[in-house]
Amino acid sequence: MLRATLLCVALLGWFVASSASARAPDTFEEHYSRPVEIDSPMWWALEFKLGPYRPDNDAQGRVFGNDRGWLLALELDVTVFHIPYAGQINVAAGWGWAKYDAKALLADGGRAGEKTKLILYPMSALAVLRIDALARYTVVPVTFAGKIGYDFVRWVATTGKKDDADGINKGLRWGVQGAFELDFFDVQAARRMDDEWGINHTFLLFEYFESKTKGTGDRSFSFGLGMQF
Amino acid sequence: MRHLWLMVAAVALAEAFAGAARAQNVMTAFDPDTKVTVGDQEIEPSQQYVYLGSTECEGDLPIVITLPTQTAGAPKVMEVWVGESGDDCNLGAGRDKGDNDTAECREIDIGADGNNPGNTPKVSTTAMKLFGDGDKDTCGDEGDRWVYVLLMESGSDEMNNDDITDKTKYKKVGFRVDVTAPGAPTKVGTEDGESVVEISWDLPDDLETENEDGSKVRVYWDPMAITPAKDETCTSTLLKAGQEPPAPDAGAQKEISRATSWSTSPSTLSNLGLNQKIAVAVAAVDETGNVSKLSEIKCVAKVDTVGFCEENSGSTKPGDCGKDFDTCSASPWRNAGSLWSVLGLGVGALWLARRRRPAAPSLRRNV
Repeated sequence: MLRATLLCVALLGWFVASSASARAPDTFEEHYSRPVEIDSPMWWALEFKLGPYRPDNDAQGRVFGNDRGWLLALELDVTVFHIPYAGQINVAAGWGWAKYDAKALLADGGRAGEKTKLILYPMSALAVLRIDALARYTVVPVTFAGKIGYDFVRWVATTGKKDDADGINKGLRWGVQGAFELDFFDVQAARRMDDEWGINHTFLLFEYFESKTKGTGDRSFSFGLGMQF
Repeated sequence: MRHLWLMVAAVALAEAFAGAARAQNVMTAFDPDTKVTVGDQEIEPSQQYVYLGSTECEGDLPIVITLPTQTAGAPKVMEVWVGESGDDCNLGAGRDKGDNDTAECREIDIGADGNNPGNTPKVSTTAMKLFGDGDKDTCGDEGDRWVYVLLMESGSDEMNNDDITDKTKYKKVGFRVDVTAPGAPTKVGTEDGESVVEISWDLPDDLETENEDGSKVRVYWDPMAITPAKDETCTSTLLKAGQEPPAPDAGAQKEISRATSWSTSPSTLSNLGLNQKIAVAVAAVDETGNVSKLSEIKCVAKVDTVGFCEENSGSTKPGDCGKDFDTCSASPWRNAGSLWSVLGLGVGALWLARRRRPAAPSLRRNV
């Protein structure tokens, strides 16, 4: 009996001591209000993308074989309108680079020692609809984007030390994008990036697109990293 | 914890010793205030050795070692000793007794024994005198040697050289005798072209082990051996495989840094015309300057090539790349792609920098 009494006293003492260490809320707001998260303004987006690209023209396969190149691209978006509870309407400028080279053909079908090259600089002006409602208002960190605009593909062809020709091909461009936001991996780090740098969100993206420029166009895809700020 | 610190200290100490050892191994040919010329060529102080090849050893090329000008003090006596091996001479004991064996060095009679204040002490000799051991007409065995130039006050105790191992008392110059020519390059190949032709080869093994900066490759071509590209044969009266390379004035040649290929315009090769070929060969040059025998002889041709635009358009018209390609008449567009990228990145970076720690964030999310 004595042991039971001592145990009860000890437990009571521990309970009192532990409750005494918890500080009571000072104010009504502190007790009932959750912290207000203030995001910095978000009017821009920047994307770095990489993917295969093979221009659709008659000589591509004969000259460069199966070279699918790598199209390295970046895109800068500016928001012109925030759609409440949905996303943004942006205008965007894109720039890319792809290079194809192979030994030049000989008249008999063989290959010479010198190289022939085709370098592309796809530049685009786009309208972008970015839907991020899922990521903002649910736990699903996914955003979508649709893009349409005009492509200006600057191209330069050389053989050996000769400049063969250069020019700009123009045509329609469209693309759809799915992106996976990285913020939820480390929410605190994402907050700090916004506080320190004004970068609101970072995301991994997959984009399927088509450039309808004749001779330099292709339907392809790319992967990349993007940020909204 | 203490063991950890001890281990760290031990590793640091070992690294310091290794670093010192490495530093000692990298020995330059001579002090920066000492000048060495071989023939009319002044040796760069950064060079590890003064290289003596077959040209220097078999000829009578003068070697001049010039010491700093004497500014003060008594007249000086100069002695020159030559190390027999790569090790330092034991000049103290050997010179005292006049014993070359003990010194592990030989004294060379250079006929120079007086250098008054204001003079610039100078040793003028030849490779044969230094390393030919008197009775040989070459540089003797191949290997590294050291030449010690001693400058002592006349009549002083230094003449009895009790302290001649003091490194301030002499200047030391490193020589490397190498009279063996490297092997010839192998697997010579050529690639024809219209504006660029390429010649390639494999380097000989003995050149692979040499200092990359010193060794070179010489490409030779025969201006008299230009034939139609369709000819099956490839011959030259000037260039013969496995033979000595032609003299510099006999055939055209180009010395390039050590590489395994050379691309050039056909116009470089005796202004080669379209559908003509020319005989070429390659030789290796080691860092001492010894030149190998010629490689096998190959021909390289200037031929009509079909680039991307010509293949796409089916036309040889300049600037035509086919119906799908809109050509640009204005060449300032040429670098437009690069310009866009620089501008875009610059604007992005500026914007990011300006937005660091936004001053007045909106209360409305993301707006």
